[in-house]
Amino acid sequence: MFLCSQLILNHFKANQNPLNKIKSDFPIFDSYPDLVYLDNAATTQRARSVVGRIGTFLSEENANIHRGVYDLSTKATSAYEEVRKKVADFLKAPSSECIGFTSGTTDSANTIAKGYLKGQLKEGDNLVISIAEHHGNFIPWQQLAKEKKAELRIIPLMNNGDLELSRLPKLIDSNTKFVSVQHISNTLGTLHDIEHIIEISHQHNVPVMIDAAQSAALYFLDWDRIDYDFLAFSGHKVFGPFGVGIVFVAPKYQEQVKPYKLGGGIIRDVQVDDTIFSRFPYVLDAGTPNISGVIGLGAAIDYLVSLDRTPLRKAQEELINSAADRLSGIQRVKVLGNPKRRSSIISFTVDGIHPHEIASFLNQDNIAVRAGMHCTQPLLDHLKTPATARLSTSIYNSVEDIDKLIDSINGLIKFWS
Amino acid sequence: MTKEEIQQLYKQHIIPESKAPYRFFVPENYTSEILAYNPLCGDKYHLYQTEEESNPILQFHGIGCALSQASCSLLIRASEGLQKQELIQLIDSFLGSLSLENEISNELPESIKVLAALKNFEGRVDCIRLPWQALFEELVQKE
Repeated sequence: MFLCSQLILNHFKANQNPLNKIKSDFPIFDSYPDLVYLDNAATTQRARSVVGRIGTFLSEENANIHRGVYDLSTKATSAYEEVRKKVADFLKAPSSECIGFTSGTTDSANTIAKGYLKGQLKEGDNLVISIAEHHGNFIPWQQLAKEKKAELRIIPLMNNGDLELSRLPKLIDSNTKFVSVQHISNTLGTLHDIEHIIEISHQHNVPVMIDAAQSAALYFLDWDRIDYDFLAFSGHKVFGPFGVGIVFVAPKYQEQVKPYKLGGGIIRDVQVDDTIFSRFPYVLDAGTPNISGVIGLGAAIDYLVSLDRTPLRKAQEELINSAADRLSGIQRVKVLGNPKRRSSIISFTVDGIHPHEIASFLNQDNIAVRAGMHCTQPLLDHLKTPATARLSTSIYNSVEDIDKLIDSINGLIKFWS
Repeated sequence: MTKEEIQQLYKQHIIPESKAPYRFFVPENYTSEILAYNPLCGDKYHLYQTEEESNPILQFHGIGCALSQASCSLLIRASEGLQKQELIQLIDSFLGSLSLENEISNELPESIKVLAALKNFEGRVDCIRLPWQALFEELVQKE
């Protein structure tokens, strides 16, 4: 009798726990109930509603978009364009025409580097990024600067992992044509002060691009408040599908975004000797776009909007700060950086144990973390650290997950001694 | 592989080999330097070759995980006394054994069979393969 009551009570408590409700939104945990998934900076898990929406589209609504006049095609076109509107509303953008679809954040940076900045940059100009950028927001600018004989200027890092923003006014001058920075460091978890960066850049009329790959899920990126000029994020880091992302372009720059991938779907007129192209955002859709991916991204945006994101974000920040404190308290463990504001990501090392061994042995306890350079080699070179282990949390992670991580790391250190 | 199997292999072979790697130094003189680098994880080793009458003598130095370091060390150990062609054959046989489709070759020395057995350690085959592949490419290229 007691056991039965206890089971009912536990069941009741489980359903009352909002984390369990959120976890039940992700089918991966049906398949792997014991999985401690701490690799959300690489990719989040897919929401059940996203998987369902893609399945419905592919099985019941599948057709190519924009050029069909039959019902299925017009419905697919409407659904595709509706997502543009959803993303615009999500970002509080002035119109859906500010939103271009790409294959992800890296593709978005390439789109702006090759489609916009290449046409603006000339020899002797400069552009500014930070040392902490992901390669996806580093290499496109580095290579463009080399090609145009422009200077790539780097915002340095302070010892605690915050950007040294006091240096920014000296890095920007009359020859600066662009600034691109990440919102959250995918290696250190630092939440960069993008409002301040934008304010300084705009004082010199320099446009700013924000790499929001790590922040779009939980941070409000309202354009009408933050005033960025370009912004990018990926579907697969906001519980949506792989292979789709967005690039926001502010109205005043849209005319200057030219196609860098050429083909059908982006043209107004094609003659033998020349082509007249569409304008942004339609100029990005050369060939058949990732239609089911965009539809899935729309479902991910719906899911995000359905969440009460402010308390979730605060809970995440508390969880990650607590995890950083607990990890720092373990002998032989070093947490990289101690930024003023950390969000959802911690890189750490264990003295005498390579990050690959850390990740492999944690995997034996069903804990998924990442090891390596995290596509931030300039940052790790700067920190004189060849590789780190990285944990990154999301809305379905709990204190219990961190407990298991800490236990496993303690076990690993004991085994290795 | 189970956690216990991996722990046993690490305890008995990988950790001791990586903590006392064989011929782990930068020689004063060498005839060629081979880079074994995995840019995805940062493991980076330099293999130094001194060739004496088709008998390559190898040393190595660098940084990386215990598995790649042990793999380097075991490679250098196994290469000792082998003629160039014998070394190419050994590496070829080892790299073939790392494929999940192939059995581990009986011709491999026991210490190398232990290393090849870790091919079932998910996600870590690149760590094992790194120095072998780099040396193989160098030796075959120079043939």
